[in-house]
Amino acid sequence: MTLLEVAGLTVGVTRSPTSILANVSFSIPAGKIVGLVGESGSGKTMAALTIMGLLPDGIEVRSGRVRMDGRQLMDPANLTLRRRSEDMAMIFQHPQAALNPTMKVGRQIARVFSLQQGSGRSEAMSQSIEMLRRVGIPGATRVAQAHPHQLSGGMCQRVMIAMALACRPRILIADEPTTALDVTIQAQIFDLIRDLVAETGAGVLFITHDLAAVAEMCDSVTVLFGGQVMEEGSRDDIFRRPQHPYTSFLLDSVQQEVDPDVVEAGVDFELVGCRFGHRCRYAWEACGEVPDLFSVGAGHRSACFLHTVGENRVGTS
Amino acid sequence: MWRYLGRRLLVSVVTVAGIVVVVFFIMRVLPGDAAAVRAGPYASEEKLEQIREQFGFSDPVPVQFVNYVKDAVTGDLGTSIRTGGEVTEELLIRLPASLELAFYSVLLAVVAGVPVGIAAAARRDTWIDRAARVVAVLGSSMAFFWLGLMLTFLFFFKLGWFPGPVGRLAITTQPPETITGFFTVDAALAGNWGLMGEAFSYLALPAVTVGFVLSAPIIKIVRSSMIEVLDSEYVRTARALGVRRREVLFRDGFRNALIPVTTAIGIIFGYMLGGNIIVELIFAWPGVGRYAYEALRVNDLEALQGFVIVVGLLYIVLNVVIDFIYSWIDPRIKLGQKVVA
Repeated sequence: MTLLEVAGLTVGVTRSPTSILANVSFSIPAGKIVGLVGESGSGKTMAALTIMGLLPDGIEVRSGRVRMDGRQLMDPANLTLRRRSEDMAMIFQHPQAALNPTMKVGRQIARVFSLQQGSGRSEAMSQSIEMLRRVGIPGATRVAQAHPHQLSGGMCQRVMIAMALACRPRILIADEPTTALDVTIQAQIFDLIRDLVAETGAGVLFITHDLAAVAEMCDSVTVLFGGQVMEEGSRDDIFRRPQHPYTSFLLDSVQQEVDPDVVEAGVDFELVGCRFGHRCRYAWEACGEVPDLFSVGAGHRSACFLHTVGENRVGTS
Repeated sequence: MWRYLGRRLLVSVVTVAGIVVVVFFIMRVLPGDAAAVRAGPYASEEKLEQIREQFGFSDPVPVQFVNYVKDAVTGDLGTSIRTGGEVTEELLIRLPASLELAFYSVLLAVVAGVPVGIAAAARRDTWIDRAARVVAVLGSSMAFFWLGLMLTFLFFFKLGWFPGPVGRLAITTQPPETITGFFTVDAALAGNWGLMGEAFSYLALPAVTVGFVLSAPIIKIVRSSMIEVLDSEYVRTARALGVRRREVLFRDGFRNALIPVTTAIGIIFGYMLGGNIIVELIFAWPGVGRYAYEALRVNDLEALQGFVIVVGLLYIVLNVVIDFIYSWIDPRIKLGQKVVA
């Protein structure tokens, strides 16, 4: 069952023709983890902030629909996002920076309970300690009295997750939740997120540039480049049967077999047509237009004109 | 905490010693002859010599210094050559006048500047923000003497709402019994509300003059630190969790902007500690600023030395107080430990 559906999302810089997300669509089913993958600057975080209604000043939504259980979250008239906090919650990349430095972490969680359920001060506090226990924090009562600077990054991310869970969200957006953490902590945070999905049936949008993490965590994957969706499919589709030249390139980059010229070319947001065009070794005249997403298998789609000429298997070599 | 205070005290002693040494020797190399000023233009050479002898100017400088330090540690800052009075006593009479004016000026500046700065940051690039920036530019380019004169002209001379610039109280009014030295507080403590009102009415124009000028830097610093905090990741978190706008603005926003704001208020208050010479002159305010000005005009060495040392002491006390405020508003700052950003 699809919980969240994002369709045709285009986001741009105010008073500038540049769009940083172009016609992006993806959906998140209940109880599944959907990966949003791409290199830095591909628009992953912008997509998350858009559906959270947290776009920074100077960035505006140009078009698109965001639906939750069939309910419109994006007002089609003025393109502002109106969501309830129990719809979605988000955890961030730098957990220590994402917590209020002058507030005890217990209170930071407790105020979410007060907000969500109208709990009184002491009730919210005990709910908060209970939630800290649930995300696997030992000595929760003591930790609740700590300020963020007294906790490690991993602890702070658990606190962040506890805050997000206090919203009882149906969709959890995890924006590179372990980038700032070391590997053992990363494994623990991943376990925690998986447990939550199993327990609550929430859908997760998992944003990362770490393909190993995607392979480990996600049920399905959307590959983003330069604000355009390159390919989408199940985890196995993307890893075993990549159809888009960019996906192949991305997978190769893990084995360090990539052409440095391609990497250093960056993203050209002024480029008309496929944004990967100037970096793609298959590019030809057709790439001056934006390709549609072509169906290349069950639930597997790829946005490349190669699929129109019968060359529908790019391979990873 | 006590260890911290002890260490601060030790450092303060060194600082004060430094101030005394520097001030003493700078004063000795200043041009001019205090004795000649005291004696008047037609004094004989013997008369001058007699005055130099009386005030100890004929001793070698190191001897003068030792004598000065010996007296200073007992609280005796010497004798004013201009008035013939004890410097310590004269400063203690005038200091509360300056401090009272400084206190109410900074209070006004904070009460006016902080909300304006917050509003400007919360509604960036709207008319509120633009108006706040205009006020800030006006305030920082406004000369004390011009604003003071204009306010006096309008509210005393034209409208008659406030008393004229004749000092802290009407000349015929008996000041309240000294407890704190703040006339407004002492009058209230004595239960004399009429006197308190009078003290406030005399304070109003100088305090507004200084307060308006000082509100400019406060508006600027509140606005910029609020903007920085409102763009922070933890404010984004609070918004993501659906925390109410008002709470985000104050609990996540302003609370975390307080450190730079406190620093700014401390600096401004410190700047006011020595009295505001121009405002004290315009409003005939009997404070230390005017005292120092008069002393400087006639090379009144010991009065000037005393002034600098007392202001230095106050500054040290102010800084300790501000450190305590820091540790109270920011849990990351623990007194006696290194500050980790």
